[in-house]
Amino acid sequence: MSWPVRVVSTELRKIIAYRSDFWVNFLGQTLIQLFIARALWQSIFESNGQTEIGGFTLGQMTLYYLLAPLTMKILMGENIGFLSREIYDGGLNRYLVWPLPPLGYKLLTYLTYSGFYLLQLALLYTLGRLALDARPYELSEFLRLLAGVGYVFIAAIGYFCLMCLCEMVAFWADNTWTLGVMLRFVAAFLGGAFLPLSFFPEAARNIIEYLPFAAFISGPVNLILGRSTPAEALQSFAVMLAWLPVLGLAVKALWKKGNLQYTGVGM
Amino acid sequence: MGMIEVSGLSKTFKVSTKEPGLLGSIRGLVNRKYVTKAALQNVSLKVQQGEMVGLIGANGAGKTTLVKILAGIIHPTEGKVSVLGFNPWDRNDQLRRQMALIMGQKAQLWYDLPALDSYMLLKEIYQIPEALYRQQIEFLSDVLQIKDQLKVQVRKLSLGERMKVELMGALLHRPNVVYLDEPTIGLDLMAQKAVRKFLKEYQREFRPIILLTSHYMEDIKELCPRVVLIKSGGLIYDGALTTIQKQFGERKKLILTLEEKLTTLPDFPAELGQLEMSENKLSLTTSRAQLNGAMDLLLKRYQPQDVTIQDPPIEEVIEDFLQKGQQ
Repeated sequence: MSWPVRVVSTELRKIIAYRSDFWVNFLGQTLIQLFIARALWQSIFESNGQTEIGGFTLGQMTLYYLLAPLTMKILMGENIGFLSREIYDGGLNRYLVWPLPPLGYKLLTYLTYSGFYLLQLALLYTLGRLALDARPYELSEFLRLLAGVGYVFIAAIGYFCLMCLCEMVAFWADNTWTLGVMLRFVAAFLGGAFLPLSFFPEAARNIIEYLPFAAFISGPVNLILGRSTPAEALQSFAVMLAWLPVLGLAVKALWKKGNLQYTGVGM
Repeated sequence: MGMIEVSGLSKTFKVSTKEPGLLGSIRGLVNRKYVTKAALQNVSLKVQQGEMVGLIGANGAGKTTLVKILAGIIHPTEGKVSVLGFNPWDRNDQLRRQMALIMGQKAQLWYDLPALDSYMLLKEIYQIPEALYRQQIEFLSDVLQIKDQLKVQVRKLSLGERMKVELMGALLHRPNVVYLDEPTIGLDLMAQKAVRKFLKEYQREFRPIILLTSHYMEDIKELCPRVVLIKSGGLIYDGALTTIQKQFGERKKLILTLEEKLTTLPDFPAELGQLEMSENKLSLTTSRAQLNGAMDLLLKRYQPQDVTIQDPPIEEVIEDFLQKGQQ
């Protein structure tokens, strides 16, 4: 077994190490979010007396708010703040003495968590779709789900790079926890987690579509829900792909510079 | 033959400072002041394969900085380092596969998993062949007497057990260079002894280079025939531990065992040393130069049953040495 496979296996064992935490994380949290979103939008639909808002029926809106936080969870991967915390307290030392690329190891652990949440998304979405939407479940929907899942997985690499860039500021500024929180907020807002991007003014949408954020949530969610055409989905995916080498090179450069500053304190 | 070579190594850190109190903190938000701290200054040393060297110095002397540079964790400001022929901060995988770093205050294994789970990952990271892996697990768990604890979550182990599983994890790949930073810190006496015994056995069996920093002189005395003393970032002594005691142990302790118990401390010239009494014993701490004169004076007054001359404990000699910064 190679080390990447073993890393994935170790991380999965960590995820399922605590039974109650696992089930709360897997089901409890999502069900609560779903319940709140459903109750909120139901009252909005009822007070407006409308059957559709912004092109969403109540069932579709509920599904959107099931998918958006789950997608955000995939992007979050392992806990936010992991790298800056390790730079701050010297925990990074462990990875620097191992004969493997430290950021490669970090990416793998991150993607293991993301992969686990992807499974969660696919399962809960399928259950939610069957429960909330009366239309018959078709093969094309299943294929869209698969494509969406692949989309999120690639987008997660982009988010990892952005997160690394924020976290690596800790090489110079020690404690940068707030930067990570800001990134999470910006990614959630511009990605469409709080409100679908179709609710944004057109001028804002025109800018956002060239930023990587739309690909984090809105792009894959709309693809899964069948709210974007294949051409639209492909375009937002292409934007994400174009950003990946830029972000990757920026991470590499900052890592190299940051390492010269690293003091390994706390050891 | 593999070895470590360090020449003209220096490292400076830029550290922020702030005045105490709330006002100081507010000022620090706008105008932060920095000082440059020399953690290492022109350090040179050579360590041969199979040597076990103790790094000694007060807190902040630069021992850990030296270890971190040798392990390739931090970059030096100046100087050259070669570890087994590699520059450590190039982070060459070939070197990292032959190296181990154990930090007494930092866990390397995953808390939520049993040690064996972490070892399986380390096996892949270090590309340890299956046969060697099994052999090492068998040997290390046997010597460390930790076999029963390998399937228990690391966080549920006692401090001593945790240190043992950490040691085991770090040595699984049978490294040729081992950096040990305070391996016995916080352990009880039994656990300290067990770790020392293990390190001795490991050293005898595999002959790696071991660099050890510890504040427990027992660790150094038992394990390191050679010591390197560091003061304020500079190397002030590099040689045998016994030589320090012989050459720089300026004080001697003279103990007279008398027939009768003493009730009052006799008058004694203070310039000849410090006299103490306990039961029927008189002990005098004096300088090497004044020992004969002081002994003559005491032997004129008493007819002791027994006379002993002791060197001061090594801890005291090193403390004196570090305080004086003798070259």
